[in-house]
Amino acid sequence: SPADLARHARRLSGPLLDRIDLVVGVERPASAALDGPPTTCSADQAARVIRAREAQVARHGCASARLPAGRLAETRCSPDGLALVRGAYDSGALSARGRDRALRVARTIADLRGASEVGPDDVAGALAYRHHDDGLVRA
Amino acid sequence: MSDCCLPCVRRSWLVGRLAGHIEHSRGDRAAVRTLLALSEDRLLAAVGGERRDGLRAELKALDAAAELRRWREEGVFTACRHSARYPARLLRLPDPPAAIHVLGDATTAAALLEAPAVALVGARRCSADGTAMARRLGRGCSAAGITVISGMALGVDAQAHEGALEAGGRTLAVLAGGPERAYPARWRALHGRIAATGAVLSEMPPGTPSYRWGFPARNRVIAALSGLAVVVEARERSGSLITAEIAADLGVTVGAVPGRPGDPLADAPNALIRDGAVLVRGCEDVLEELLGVRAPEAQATTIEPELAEVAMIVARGARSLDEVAGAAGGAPGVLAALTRLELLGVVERRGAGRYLPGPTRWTAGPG
Repeated sequence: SPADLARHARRLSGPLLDRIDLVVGVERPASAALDGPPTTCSADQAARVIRAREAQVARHGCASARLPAGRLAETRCSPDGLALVRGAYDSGALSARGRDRALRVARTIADLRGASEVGPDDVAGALAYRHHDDGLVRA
Repeated sequence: MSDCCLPCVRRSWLVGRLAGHIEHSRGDRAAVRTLLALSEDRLLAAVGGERRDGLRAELKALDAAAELRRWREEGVFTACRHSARYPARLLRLPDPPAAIHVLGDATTAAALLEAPAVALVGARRCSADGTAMARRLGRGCSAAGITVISGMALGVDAQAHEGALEAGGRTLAVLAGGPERAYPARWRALHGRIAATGAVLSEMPPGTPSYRWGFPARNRVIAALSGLAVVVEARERSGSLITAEIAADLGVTVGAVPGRPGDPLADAPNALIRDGAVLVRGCEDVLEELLGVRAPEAQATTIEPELAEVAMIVARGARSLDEVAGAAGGAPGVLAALTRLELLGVVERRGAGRYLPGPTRWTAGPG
């Protein structure tokens, strides 16, 4: 039940949650979707991940997840993308660590689509996967 | 600090002492209210059972002044209906409590009881929309100087208090048991915060547990204290309807937040609106009803057509990322659009990948 879920969520400590990069909601798939042919296969996805990882190692010497906070400029984020991160940080939705994490995740999303520069859509995607339950903006 | 005459101390003590007996008298709601209007002797005779003589002796032996001091030591002040500190609004009840017991600062409580007040009540098991609406109403009303009254139950009640606490804490919780007892126990922290910046009030003296009959009885206090009683979400035959019904009987305006037809949580509010309740779409409607002011319409934010399309999909009821993406024809960039809309306040994200319409009014720009 929702109450049980909320109780469980409260038991997870903040410092632990702060080390999780992606939070993704998963719905039960519609039965029609299960009847159809798969839209993708694990092998293709694995190849995509390996390509992205290689691009990151070639660029930074390590996966972007391991990039130290001082070297985040190397993620080559576009000005539009940086503006989004700044907006989220200024509104109080992101901690400093959350901001760094968003930049690293955005870098990975860009690499998965094979782009050299991190665009605003990559940043927006990274922000959508952050874990804080409170909204970006407080009314 | 307390302001309660000794006969009223005795009366209030007796109601607390008999709370368990009343529970077992198995009366219906109307019977309980009849009981509460009885004299001490008759009340004892009606629910005291075999122990009525013992109870009568206990009442006779009661040191009322010491009892009042004992309540005070619990951090509770008491005002009886013969006192100027007693909320005048309760006197319109046919069966007003003999005394009220208040946890919190007396001056704050007096101010909260004098200000225009809205009761925000609704389902314990409410939806995410109900949660968001209760919180937004609580926040907006508190910020506007309106006292937010509710029952601290799970769901809508707690969210209304939380919202009010976010905006200055002008909130009053009315409990079914003693005011110093956090009920439900899960809200111990919330109870403490309400007592710190607002007040917790009860008809029951300190030490009284919450019995089932106490909830409809408590609802009559909520209804009487408010100038507008709003049902946010409730199923048919919900306790919130009792509050609305009592409010209507007292001449207190009833309001309701409309819901989607077919949603069981919309049954009660939609029925109330059909029967003439004030339509409550947001704080503006509460402010208009209670203060008679029409807030200037907030300037709508103009958003790009691509974003407007996604905003409209969320407004029409798509809630999960998959649903939104499906309705957008699987368009890429839906996630990015949702995050931008979230930054603008047009949508709100609840938990991982759940989206609700947000507080910002918007209009689609030319495209």
